[in-house]
Amino acid sequence: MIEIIIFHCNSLNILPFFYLVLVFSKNELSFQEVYKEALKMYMKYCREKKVLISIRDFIENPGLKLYFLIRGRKKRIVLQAFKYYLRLFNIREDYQLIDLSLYENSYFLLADIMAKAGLKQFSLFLAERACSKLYEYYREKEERPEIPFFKNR
Amino acid sequence: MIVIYHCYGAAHSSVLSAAIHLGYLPEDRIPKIEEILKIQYFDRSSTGEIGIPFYYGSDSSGNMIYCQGMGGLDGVIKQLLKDVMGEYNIPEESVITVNSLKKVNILVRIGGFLSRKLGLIFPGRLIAAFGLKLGYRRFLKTVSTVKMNIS
Repeated sequence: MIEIIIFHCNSLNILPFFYLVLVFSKNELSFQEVYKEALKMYMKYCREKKVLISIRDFIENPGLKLYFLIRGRKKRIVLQAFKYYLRLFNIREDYQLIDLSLYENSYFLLADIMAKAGLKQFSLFLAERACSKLYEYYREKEERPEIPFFKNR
Repeated sequence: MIVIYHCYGAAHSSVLSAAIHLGYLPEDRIPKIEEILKIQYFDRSSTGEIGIPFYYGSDSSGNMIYCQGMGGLDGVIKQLLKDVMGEYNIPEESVITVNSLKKVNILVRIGGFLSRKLGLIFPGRLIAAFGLKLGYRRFLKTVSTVKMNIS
């Protein structure tokens, strides 16, 4: 039985938090509600310098452990290292990887660049725009990722 | 304890360091090129294996020696290792990582590139082995420091 879900993406921006709230919220929230919650979580975790970030305080978590894996662009290398490190320490966890790079469109990438350039407000504006596109896409397509959470709903 | 010698692709410098640690290469002299070419896994790993730590052997004290290619992502991979260990309460001092890539010279880089990237295995392997032979004392020093620290 899957115990852990790991969302992996290029960089730590608002995307994984937005996706997490969007996918896991029990009620159908408006875009602003999802974005506000995601932004709150992002501001809490954005200073963490970790590659594997444990999300412990997400209240909608139905007993699953949630992690973000901030792997950068060389996806295969980091995912391989992760898999084999678990093996190295004989850690036998049943986990599922969800690739968020599918949603990392140019708005998110540009938002990252603007944030690094110190233009935080502009970065947040771009991120909000990117999130709204993701929200529309998700609601229209009614796409649900293949994770056990939804089997129990 | 686990010792991970790492470099770019786990083909040359990390493998050489691990071989020295385990006594497959001499510590009292510079080996011949043939001896370097014969060590297990020398210039054998493929690009697809970068990221995978592979077990090379255990030393006389029971420490497990690994080689790992980090593909230029040393900072990310080492932080990931630290995060995994922190998450599962594995003591940090139970693993040490050693960067073998810092000791390589231009010949090893050229040889590695020729062999691993361009597929010119014979000349690449020879040049890499020659480069490692020239810089052998640096690797000896690194390995002896590691052995002292873990004893």
